Amino acid sequence: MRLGFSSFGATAVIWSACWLRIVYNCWDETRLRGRTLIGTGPDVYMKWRGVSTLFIFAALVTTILAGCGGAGSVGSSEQKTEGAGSSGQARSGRLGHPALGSPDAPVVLTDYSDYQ
Amino acid sequence: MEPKLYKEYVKDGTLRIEWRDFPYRGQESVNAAIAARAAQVQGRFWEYHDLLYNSQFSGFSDENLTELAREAGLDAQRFESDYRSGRYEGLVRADFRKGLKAGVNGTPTFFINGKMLVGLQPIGVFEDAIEDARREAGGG
Repeated sequence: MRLGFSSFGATAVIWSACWLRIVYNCWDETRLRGRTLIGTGPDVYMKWRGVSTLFIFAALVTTILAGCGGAGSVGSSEQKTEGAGSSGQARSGRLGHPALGSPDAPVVLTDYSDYQ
Repeated sequence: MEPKLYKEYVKDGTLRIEWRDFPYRGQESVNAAIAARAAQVQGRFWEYHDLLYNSQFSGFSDENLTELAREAGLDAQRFESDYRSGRYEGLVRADFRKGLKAGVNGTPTFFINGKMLVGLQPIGVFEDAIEDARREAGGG
């Protein structure tokens, strides 16, 4: 789960790096990946700047959210494992065995009985 | 279960007592076990369990089981619904099958940390077995 989110985050960073390069080309060489950029007046520069800022911001937000989401999902799966391992009353929504005493007691007496 | 064991060993955290159904005396035994599970849903398994033992000789008809539920302070309507749903029969039957697999062929049969103890025994036998199990578990 975490790996999936991290890959997504890495992809976002690579995308933002590409966009930064494009913006750099626009500003300094008026070229887009080696090709001449059509319509490179000041208004176009401003447009590129706005778009690139948006992309960088989106990439950063995605990366941060991906990190938080990954950790959260790992934590919840651990909680589920603990629940299943305990001898509590509810296991997968079902009743456990009726019991008296601590689940950590060193001695367990199991009583097989009939009410009649 | 003997109250002395509860006072001596359960309260101080040495002993845990786990109940398993082994209804081998016919349908009324099965019904009583299912009814006790329906009481467990309402958090009153042990109260109902004690009432069942005290009422053994009046039989476990559906009416008697519901009457005992009222005595135990259960929500009778919910109890009846749970009891008749068939939802808990699987749990009771599963306990029975596990008991057979473990070598149980009569009741009561106890396992103290896996060691079998068959039939009603003097309290001293349980105390000795619990003390032995505690020593083996490294609890002094």
